[in-house]
Amino acid sequence: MGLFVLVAGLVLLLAVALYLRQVATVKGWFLVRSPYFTFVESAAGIRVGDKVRLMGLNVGEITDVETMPPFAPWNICVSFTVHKPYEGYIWSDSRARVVADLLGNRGIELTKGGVGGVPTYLFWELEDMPVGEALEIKEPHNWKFGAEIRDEDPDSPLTQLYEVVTRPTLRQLAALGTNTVRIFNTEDPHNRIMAMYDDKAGAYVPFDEHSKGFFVLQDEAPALTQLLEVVVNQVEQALPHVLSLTNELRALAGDGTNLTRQALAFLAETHVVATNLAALTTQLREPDGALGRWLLSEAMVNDLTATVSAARDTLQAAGSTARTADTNVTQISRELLVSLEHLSLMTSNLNAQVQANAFILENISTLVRDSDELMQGLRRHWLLKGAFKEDGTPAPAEDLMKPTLEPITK
Amino acid sequence: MNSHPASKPESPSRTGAGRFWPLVLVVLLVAGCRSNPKPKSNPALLKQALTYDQQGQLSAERAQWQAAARNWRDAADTYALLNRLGDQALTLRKYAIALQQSGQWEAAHQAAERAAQMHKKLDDQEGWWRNQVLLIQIDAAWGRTEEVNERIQDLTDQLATITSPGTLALLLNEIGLWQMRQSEVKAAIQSYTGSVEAFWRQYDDQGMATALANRARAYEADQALPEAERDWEAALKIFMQQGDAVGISTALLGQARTLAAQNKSPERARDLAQRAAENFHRLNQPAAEAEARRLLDQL
Repeated sequence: MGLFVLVAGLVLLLAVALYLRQVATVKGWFLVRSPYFTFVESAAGIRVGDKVRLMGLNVGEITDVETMPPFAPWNICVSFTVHKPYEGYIWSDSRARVVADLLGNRGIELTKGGVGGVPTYLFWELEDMPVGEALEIKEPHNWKFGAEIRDEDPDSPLTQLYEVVTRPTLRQLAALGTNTVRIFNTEDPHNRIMAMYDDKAGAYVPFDEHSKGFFVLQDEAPALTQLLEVVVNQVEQALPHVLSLTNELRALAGDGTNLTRQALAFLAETHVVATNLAALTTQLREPDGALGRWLLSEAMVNDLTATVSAARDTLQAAGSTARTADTNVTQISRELLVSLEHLSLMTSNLNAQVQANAFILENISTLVRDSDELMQGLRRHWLLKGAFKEDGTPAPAEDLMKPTLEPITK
Repeated sequence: MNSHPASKPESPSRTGAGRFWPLVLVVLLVAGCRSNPKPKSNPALLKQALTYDQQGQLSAERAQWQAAARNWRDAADTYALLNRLGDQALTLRKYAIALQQSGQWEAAHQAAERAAQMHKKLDDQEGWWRNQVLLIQIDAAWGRTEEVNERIQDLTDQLATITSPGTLALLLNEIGLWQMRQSEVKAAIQSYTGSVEAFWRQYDDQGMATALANRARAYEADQALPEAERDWEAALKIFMQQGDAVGISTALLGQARTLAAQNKSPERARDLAQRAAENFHRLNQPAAEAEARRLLDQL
C-alpha cells in the first residue's frame, strides 16, 4: 500500500513537472528577453500584452504603455521586449513601426537592422583592457571593439564599433597614446545580456537590469481616418493629371510627328499606366474585387459600421469622438468611391487613345510618370492592396537570362 | 480476342462484330472527351517545388551554378508531378541556364530543347522565344556555329511576332553577335541598336549596358570611333551602377582602346588600360589581362 502511494505520488510529481516544462516552453518563461522602448503620439489601439512583430513573426510583446511628461516632445512611451534569438535582428538602425489595422487596433512591427548600424545588445562581457595587454592577446580576431576611438578628425574614427580587433589597429592606438580599449571576446556568449549599445556614447555599456532598454526610433502609422483622407487626396490630385493626359493625347491625334526613340519609351510608359488603370477599375467593378466589395456591398457596409463601432472606444481614447469618427469614415469612403469611379470612367477613353496614337511627344512624359507613380503608390497602400489582388497560386520566379557580352579575346 | 484491360468480360450472347460496338463506343467517348488534365492540387508538394525553385534562385545569385542546377532539376520534377506544365517548362529553362553556366553544353542544350517543346505545346510564344535565345547562347558557347546560323536564319523572319521587349532585346543582341562573326558590321550595329532600345523599354539597365558595350565593339570595327567612345562611356557608367566587375573592366579597356585609336588623351587612356589590366588580373581572366597589357605597352 505504502509503495503504491509512493509510486503514484512520484508519477504525479513527474506529470506536474512535465506539464510545467511544457507550459514554460510555450509561454517562453525561460527565454531571455531584451527590453526596448519607443515613442508614439497616441496610445490608441496599443495594449500591454500585444505582440511585437518582426519579419512577420511574433517576437515579443508590449510590456508597458505610459504617458510622458506634459512638455515632452512625444506623448506616449511604449516599452516592449523581444525574446531570444530575435534581438539579434534589432540593430541600432532598426525602426519600430506602429501599424494599424481596419479594426483600429495598432501594434508594433520592427524592421530588421544591419545595414548601417550595430547590434543593440551583446551577450559577451565587455573588458576595458590596457592597449599593451590587448596586444598580447593570442587570437585577436576573436575579439571586437566595444567602443569607437576617435582622433582629431571626428568623421573617421580610429576604431569602428563591432569591428574585429587587429594588431595594426592596436599598435596605431598605442602610438597615438591611447591607454585602454573597450573590447569583448566573441567566443563564449553568456546566457544573459551583458552590454547595451549607447548611441550617445557611441559605445557599448554594461547592461543595467533596471534600464528601460534600447530606444528604437519610431515610424508611426496615422490613424484610419487620416489614412483614408490621404488616399482620397491622392486620387483627387491625380485626376487633373489623367484628364490633361487624355486631352493632350486627343490633341495629338492627327499630328504626324516622327516616331522618335524617346517617343517609343513614352508609349511604353503610357501602356503601363493604362494597364494599371484598367487593373484598378476592373477590380472595382467586379463584386469580388476586395475594395469594391468593401465599399459597395451592403453586408460589408454593415461590417464597416460594426467595425467602426467596435473601434469607438479606442478612438475615444485617442481624443477623437466616436460620433465624428463614424461619420468621417463613412463620408470619406463615399468620397473615395466617387473619385475612383471618376477614374474608371476615364480609363476606357485613355486606353483607346493610347492604342490609337503611336506618336507621343516628350511634353506629356511628366504626366505619364505622375500617373504611374500614383498607381504604384496605391498598389502598395495597405488599404488598397486588396484591390490589386493577384492570382492566389504561387508561381516560380522568372529566369535569370542575360545577354551575352562579346568576349575580349576570340 | 479482345484483351483491352478496361473492357468488360465478353457477353456469351454477343457474337461477331456486334460484340465490339460497346468497346468502340467507349474508346470514341474517351478519346473525344479527353482534355489536358488540370494541375493537381497538393499544397505541400507545391510548397516543396517553390522551395527548390527559391533555393535554385539563391544559388544562382551566388554563382553556385551546380547547386542551382540540382535545385531547379528537382523543382522541374516536382512541377511535373503536380502537372503544372507551364511552371515545369520555366524551371527547365532555368535548369538549362544553370547547366550552361557550368559548361555542360550538351545537357543544357537538351534541357532547353525540352523546355522549348513544352512551351510550344502550351502555346506559350514568349516562353518559346526565350528558349530559342537560350539555345542560340548555348550553341554559340558550345561552338556549334552551323546550328546557330540555321536557328538565327529561321528566327529572323519571325521577329515581328515577339511581344516582349526583354525577349526581343536578348534575341537582337545574339543576332548582333552572330552578324559580327559573319563580318556584317553595319547590320550588327543596327541589331545592337534595336537591342539597346528594347532593353531600355524593359527598364533592364544591365542588359542595356551589355548591348551598348557590344555596339561599341561594332562601332570600333566600323572605325566609327567617336560613336564607340560614347557607347563605352555610357556602358561603363551603367556597369558601375550595377556593380558588374567584368562589364566595368571590359568597358574600361574598350574606352582606353578607343581613345588610343583616336590619339586622344594618352594619359587617360593609359590610366583606363591600367585599371582594366588590374581588374582582369583580380577576376582571374588572363587572356583579357594580356590584351589590356598589350594595349598598355603600345601607349
